[in-house]
Amino acid sequence: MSESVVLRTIGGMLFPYILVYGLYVQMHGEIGPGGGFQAGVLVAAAFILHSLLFGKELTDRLLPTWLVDLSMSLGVLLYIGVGIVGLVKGSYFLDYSVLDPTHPAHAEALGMTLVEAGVGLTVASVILTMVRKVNGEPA
Amino acid sequence: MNSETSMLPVLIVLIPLVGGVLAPIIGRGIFGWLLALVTTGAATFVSGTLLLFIHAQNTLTPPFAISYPLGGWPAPHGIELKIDLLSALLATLVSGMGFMVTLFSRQGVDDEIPADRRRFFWSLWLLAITGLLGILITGDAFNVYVLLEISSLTIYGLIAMGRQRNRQALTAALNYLVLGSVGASFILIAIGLLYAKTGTLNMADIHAKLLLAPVDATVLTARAFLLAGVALKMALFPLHLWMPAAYSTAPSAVAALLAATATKVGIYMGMRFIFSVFAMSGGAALSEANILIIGICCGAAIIFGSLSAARQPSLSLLLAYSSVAQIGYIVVGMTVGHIDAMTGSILHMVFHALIKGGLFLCAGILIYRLGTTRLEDLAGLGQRMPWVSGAIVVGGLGMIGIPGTAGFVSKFYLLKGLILSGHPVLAGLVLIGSVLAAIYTWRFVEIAYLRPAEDTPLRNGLPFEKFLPVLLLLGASIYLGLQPGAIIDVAHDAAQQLLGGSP
Repeated sequence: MSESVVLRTIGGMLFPYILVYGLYVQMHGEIGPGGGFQAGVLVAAAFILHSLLFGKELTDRLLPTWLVDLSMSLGVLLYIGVGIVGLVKGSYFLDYSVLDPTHPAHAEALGMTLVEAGVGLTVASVILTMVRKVNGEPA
Repeated sequence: MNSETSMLPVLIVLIPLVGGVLAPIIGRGIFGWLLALVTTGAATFVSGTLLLFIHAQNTLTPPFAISYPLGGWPAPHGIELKIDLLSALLATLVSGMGFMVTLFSRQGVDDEIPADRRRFFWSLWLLAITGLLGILITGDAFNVYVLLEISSLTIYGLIAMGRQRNRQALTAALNYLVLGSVGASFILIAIGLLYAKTGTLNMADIHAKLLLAPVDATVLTARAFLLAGVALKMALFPLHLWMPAAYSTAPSAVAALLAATATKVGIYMGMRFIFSVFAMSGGAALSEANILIIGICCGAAIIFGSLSAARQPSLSLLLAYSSVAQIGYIVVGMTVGHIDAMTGSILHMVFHALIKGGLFLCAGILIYRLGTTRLEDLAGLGQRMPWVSGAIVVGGLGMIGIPGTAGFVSKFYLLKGLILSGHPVLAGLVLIGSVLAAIYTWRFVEIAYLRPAEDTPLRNGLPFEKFLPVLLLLGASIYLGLQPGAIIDVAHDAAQQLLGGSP
């Protein structure tokens, strides 16, 4: 936790912008460089900055530990879920085209967006958990 | 292939994967164990069904393999799951062993893992099984590496969880992490070189392209890196150093799972790459020089492993060093590339998994009831725990290869293959290894039956659910020793598919 007014003010101003930029990288990943991995790291970095500046307690209020734990699994489940839709509809695992049979390109865009969202969720929460563990907090 | 079986291949990995991801959410208390039990059971059912299906089809139209394009992208551009007889046999073995050890380990995990970590334990447990099963069924070389990392990373974590009982588990896990990462990097370098050479990552496609191109330094370097990496993963002498410490300090359930499955999957990778990817057209997969080097390693593994096993202070370490020797048998059989030796090698993989899995479960029971596996503390075990020590003796007989146990069948085929392919020295080593196995088994018998019993109190009774898997595994090894026809059939066909060069 930092006592410096300059750091806390600038950091507090940057925090939402880092999140928005993370979201942009997340959304952009479907059509260009970017995607879930990079976006997850950016979002996690925003919260790490927050906890460095304002202390762990405040960050925990913003983003409770149980939520981080839960989203580690939820991200992967979202990914697998998209895959299982393909299986249930009688096609192959992770076959996006069943998501919108009338328009394959849309189906692919939807499938990739959902899968990347899952990746982003898992990466962000795993990185936050790793930082928490390195800080010596018990499991 | 009909529509019922068409989605089975992906289910083999999907079921334990979903279980592993759900475990941190719903795996508190007994639910983690139940989840693991249900998912490994379902995976066993699926892979068993596939094994029967593929075996039936393979007798009609050999060679038969199921291909499953993930995401509907056809091979070689998409990632393909490819299941032939060997994959299906080992997938059944791995998921079945996972089920048995899970059945065994409810109280053991309660005993050895702190309550707030149990849900993560079950998560790692199922993800490790996912990775191991994935390696067995994928037809994509890079996919092998990814799944290898999944299984390795989770296994490092599982071993480190033994620190509650034994602080050295942390050192063992770190050693394995360093060595395992080196091995995995070697495998990655080999895959990278193959990709540079052929421009494809699909195993069948790499094989087809290698057959057309002349053998050059790139291919030979790739093969060298691959063999070194795989040898580390399967703990082939002299790259076995991570194994005894890891096996003896890991939680007892983890030790049993690793001994029964992880090294077998390493050997599978070796077989798959040597015979389905690198095998040259019309010739043996390995040159005589290769066989000489690997044969020396295997011979050293058999002699050194057995001799070391005979002077270990604890049963866990004894079993671990005996595994070093058994890996030697399996690898020597696959190296010479003879059909009978390969059959023996595949049989020995299955039987050794059953026997050594059962023996490590016995060690787990000793930890549960005595709190130790130190041989000195086992004096008079024959009177104090007649069932468990009887089971250990039965397992030991299987390891020696006494007629009537499964070990005899596999060693018979190994010897036949080694002699027929003109390697009498290697055959002699297998025989010497059996004699040495008798020495370390006798050591246990002497301590357990011929020494007066100690009167340290037993902490717990013998729970039926703990002894049931031991009974089933060792019972299976006896049954398969007496009625080996069906399994020999499967192993022979699998060996034929493998030597035929089709992945």
